[in-house]
Amino acid sequence: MAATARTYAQPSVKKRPTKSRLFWLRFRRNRLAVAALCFIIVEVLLALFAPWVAPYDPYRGDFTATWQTPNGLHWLGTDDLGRDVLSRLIYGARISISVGVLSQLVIALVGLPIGALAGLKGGWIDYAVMRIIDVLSSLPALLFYVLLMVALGAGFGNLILAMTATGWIGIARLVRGQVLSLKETDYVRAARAMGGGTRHIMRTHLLRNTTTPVIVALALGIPGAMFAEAGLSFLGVGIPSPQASWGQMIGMYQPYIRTAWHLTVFPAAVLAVTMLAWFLLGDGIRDALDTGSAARNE
Amino acid sequence: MSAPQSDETLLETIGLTKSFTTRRASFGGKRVEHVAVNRVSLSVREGETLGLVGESGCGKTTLGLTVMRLYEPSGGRIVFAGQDITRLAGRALKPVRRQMQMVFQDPFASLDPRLTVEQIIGEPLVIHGTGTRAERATAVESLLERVGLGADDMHRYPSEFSGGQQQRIGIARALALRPRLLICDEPVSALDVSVQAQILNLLRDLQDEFRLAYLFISHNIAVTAFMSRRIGVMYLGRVVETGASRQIVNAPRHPYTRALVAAVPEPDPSRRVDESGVRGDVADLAGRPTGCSFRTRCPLAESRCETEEPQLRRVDKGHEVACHFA
Amino acid sequence: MARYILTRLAGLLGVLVVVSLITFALMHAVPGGPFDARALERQQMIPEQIKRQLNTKYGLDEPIWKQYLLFVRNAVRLDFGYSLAFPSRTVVQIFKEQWPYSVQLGLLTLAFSTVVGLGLGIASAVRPNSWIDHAGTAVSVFCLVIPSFVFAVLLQFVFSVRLGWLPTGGWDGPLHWVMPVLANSLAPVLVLQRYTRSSMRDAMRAGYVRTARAKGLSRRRIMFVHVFKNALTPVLTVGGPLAAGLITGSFFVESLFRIPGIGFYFVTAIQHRDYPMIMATTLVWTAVISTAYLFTDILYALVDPRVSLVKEK
Repeated sequence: MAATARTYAQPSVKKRPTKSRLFWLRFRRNRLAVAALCFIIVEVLLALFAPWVAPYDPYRGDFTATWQTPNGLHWLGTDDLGRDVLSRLIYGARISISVGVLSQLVIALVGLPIGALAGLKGGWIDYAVMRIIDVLSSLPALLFYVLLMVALGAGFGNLILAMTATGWIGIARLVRGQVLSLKETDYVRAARAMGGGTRHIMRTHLLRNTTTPVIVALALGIPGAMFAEAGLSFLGVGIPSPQASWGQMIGMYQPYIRTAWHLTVFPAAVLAVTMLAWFLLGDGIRDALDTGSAARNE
Repeated sequence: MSAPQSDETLLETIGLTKSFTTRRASFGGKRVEHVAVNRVSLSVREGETLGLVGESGCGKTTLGLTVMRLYEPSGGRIVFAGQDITRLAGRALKPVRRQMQMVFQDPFASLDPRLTVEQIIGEPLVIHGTGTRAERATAVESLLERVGLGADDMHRYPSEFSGGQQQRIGIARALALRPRLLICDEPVSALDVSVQAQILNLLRDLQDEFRLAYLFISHNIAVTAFMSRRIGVMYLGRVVETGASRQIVNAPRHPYTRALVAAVPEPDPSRRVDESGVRGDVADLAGRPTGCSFRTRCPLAESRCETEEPQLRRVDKGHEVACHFA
Repeated sequence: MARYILTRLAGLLGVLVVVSLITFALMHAVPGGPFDARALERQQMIPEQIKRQLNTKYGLDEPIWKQYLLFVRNAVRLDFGYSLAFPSRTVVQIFKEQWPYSVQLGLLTLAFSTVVGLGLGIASAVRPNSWIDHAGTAVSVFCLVIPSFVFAVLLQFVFSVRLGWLPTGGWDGPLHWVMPVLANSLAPVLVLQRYTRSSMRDAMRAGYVRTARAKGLSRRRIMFVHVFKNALTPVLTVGGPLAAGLITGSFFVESLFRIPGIGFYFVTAIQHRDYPMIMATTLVWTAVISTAYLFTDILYALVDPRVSLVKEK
């Protein structure tokens, strides 16, 4: 009966769009997200090709041209050592973007297996993981970062390490919750009834159904990590001095805001716009992913 | 009725028990035990349908999941095709799983939303390493056609189908390994009434074709009688009456079964009289009454029912009832 | 109830012990003692002899576990010793004298952000998809993505440098309060606005509100009797910890506007490896915030009859 019913409904099977194509079609509808993506692409390119793009060496000062306000030679002015602000901003993008992206990758690498293990195995492993998470999340995050950075010393690697030390709990908690609820679904039951082992279930059902929320959490974590880097560098415990970081520039030159406003306002503006762009991009990714089956599966 | 019968027992449960313990929420809380399935003995013969009816919460679904070994049995034994599978685990259980599959109540929830129909129906074949990729695709195609869907549905996702079609996919997946027993847990209760009959007919056709045995679980005694040769009635984890469908529907002996039969909608209003006298709701599993668990709702209850738990006893050929007054 | 509070208090104690251990361990993993850091700053070397005397004076030559036990014993008596960065004052003195500034900033921020956050949240819930709802969304995105110190710098640039209306720093009167409070309000406004909005919308969609409307009650009456009461109770759960977070001060805002609160002193302490000050601040903050959570939970149970902390069946 159903077989006859579908003879007149002939869907064009060949032309069904793939999942990534569907994602792109949905993402494209969000104008803000597309604009943010364009901005980010430009910024990433600038950061990648910084040595060729930057008009000056960001580390070499020119003692004949210190404290210059924006002018024809130095579009965004120079700092106390005569270093070009624009060049330092471009090199600062390298720090900001790489801290944002790299920290999220490391966090995923640590948090995902821990969360999956806790959710799958349960028992004492789950108990131990949850207690560690309880304690770590009772610490004010920024305070803990500061303490860690003071202990470890300023620097790029330590920054990633400090962020991972507390950052993994978010992903672990998310993955654990997903695994726990997915474990109780009928399709995982069905897979077990067929004789599917833990490995099979993990690969076929759990990972596939956890990717979306994990990707969203990581994408939205990037601006968060950028904020942490900027904040720590602002306080003087993030990226150490000769290297250029936006937060560090704001922190170092804020006391001179009356005399040399360009040294703090430009990095502040760039940081604000960058964080907004990454947030809008993450938001757009979430909206484009979070439809249909994923929402009903919740 | 429909399928050729044989006397060979395929599945037997002997005093099967499943209980859950929950801990109270507060610090140092006490453990509370809930016996969901209480010393249940049943048997399903090759190619036969055994119906299992009862209200929601009576333990029929738990029984199905325990027989499937998706829950660990707390007591009793499960014998499948002459083999005791109560304690089998891992590798030893896998060949048994091939022969025993399940159809779930909520078809959408039982299909992974991120897999295509081909992947879903092919999943059991992948798990058991059957055939090459191309062979599996052919197998999926013929299964799809067998349950009334088309080959062009292979690349779609479950959410693109109606509830009835989703259940067909679930049935095709259950059939992929050519099992001998299918546990159908309320396979039609989530579906529209118009679709229910189609799915029930499909299940009956498949039974003939593949010589399947069904353990058919439902809260609807009419549907169960339509599908089954024999019926077991469950109340609070206990089987209170078993017999041929005819006996259960036409001459129910247990007061609870009478109430279930009387609750079936009757097209002729002049005959719609509920004279069972059953009152109230199902008792809490944790607060199970002493003696006969049905006595709190039973019109016949006497002091004897408080102290003495009635056991199943034969009242007619193939008809057993657990009631002091039957 | 009593048992629940006891359980939670035990948990609180456990958290404090762990936090103090972590802080202690981290502070002692720091390369170079406190005197090295300060000597480095002044670009001078301290003779070994003097360094040893200094270490003895501050108890830094004892074994680590002994230092920790000593620290705990003193901490219980609220004695955190002398600050290393400000050697003339004890840590407790610094807290006593500086905390009021942080509390003042925190309370002003709380008042401001409650008005703005609650107002925006309610307005956007009452009129979904209106201009005010969109404005609310824009404000919350702004609060979410703009770090407070960036906002503070931009405020200083516009209102102090360009317009010359407001002073860039200090804490001497209402004019000095404007920018710090604004900059400090980002996070609380975000939280309050979002929470109020979603909680209000849930309440407005609830069955009892539909019933009230069907009964023909006036919109005003429905809002005040049915929606507000049910919608604003959950807002309490975020309000408590939020207030606690605010009165403990802010690193960024206090140091940017040179407000002599605890946040400002903490930043200084970090730069000077001022162990006693760092550990005391960390402990006090964790204690205040955890206690706020506890009180909020209890208060919530008292206000909302449906919540029972102890599940007894």
